[in-house]
Amino acid sequence: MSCLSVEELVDWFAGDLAPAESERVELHLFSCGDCSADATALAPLLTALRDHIPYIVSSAGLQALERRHVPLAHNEVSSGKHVLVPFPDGSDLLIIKLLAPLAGVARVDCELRGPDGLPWFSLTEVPFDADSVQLACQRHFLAPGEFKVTLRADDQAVAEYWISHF
Amino acid sequence: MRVSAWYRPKVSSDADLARRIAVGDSEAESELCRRFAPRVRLYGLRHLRDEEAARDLTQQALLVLIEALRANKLEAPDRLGAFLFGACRNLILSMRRGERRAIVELEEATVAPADPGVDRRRLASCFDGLPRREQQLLTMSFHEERPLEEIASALALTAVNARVIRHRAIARLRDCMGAA
Repeated sequence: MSCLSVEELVDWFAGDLAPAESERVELHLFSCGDCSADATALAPLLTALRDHIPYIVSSAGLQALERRHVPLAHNEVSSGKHVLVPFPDGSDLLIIKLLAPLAGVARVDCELRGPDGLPWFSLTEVPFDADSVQLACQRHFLAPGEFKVTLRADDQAVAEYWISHF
Repeated sequence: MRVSAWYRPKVSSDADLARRIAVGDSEAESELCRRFAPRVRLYGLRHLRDEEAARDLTQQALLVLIEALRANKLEAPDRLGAFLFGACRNLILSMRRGERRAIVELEEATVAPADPGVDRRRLASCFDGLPRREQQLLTMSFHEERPLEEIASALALTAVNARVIRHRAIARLRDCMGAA
């Protein structure tokens, strides 16, 4: 077998090769020092991507976090409210369910602005459920002050939240 | 040509390592472990998705290999990789069934060093700089661990297109991370 491309290594690591193809790649990796070195060099990035938590978490993403036993806490916030949502001890990740009427909606966009009013992120096509969007707050990204989150559904503003952690 | 006992070739082939281990060369055992530990660990990360489990697999697999070499049991000493691959597959099946061999602590050289890791803040910054579609693909592929066919369907893409976008995203990230 000829040596492997980066694309093949990525597809293999992601589990997207057919079983026979995956086995051929694996046998080659065990037998070829150069390809093994390339794959070893690539692995930290792919592993880090697995641990990279998006700002808005889908149900599948939440299940993945639970599978990995990531200590997390949950809370929920209704639209139009100014709320204090402290970080519970023992968890570095807080999932805040932003409640909003999203049944029948085709697309949801989300923007978060920091205490200074500047945007921290603005995302289109975020994952959502019929009644909510799940915002992932990581402890090491916290800052004092109030954050404003805005949800738009099919280009219409549908909900706003003001959240502080301190 | 006779080779003096004190002479060792700079880079030994797999077959040469196997022959040396069969006659009790502990240095060859260390070299073998250094050579193959990263490969086993990588295989473990792919299939077990857990660093600790991958390290466990590495220890067990290398022990199986060394024991076989010491006992001169390998039919094809030049195909250590293939033997080790088979051993890893069997071990993972056992691990999934909940079986555990007694873990024998091998020399430190057998354990592949942990990844130096990536700068997570740098990664976050580079990730945020990706086009939205690429962010979605990477999150769904690696964080959510969803099959590419499913991701393509969810994003209204063909599987081929999804694969291309993912590769482009990885290339962009590597460039961005490498430029740090």
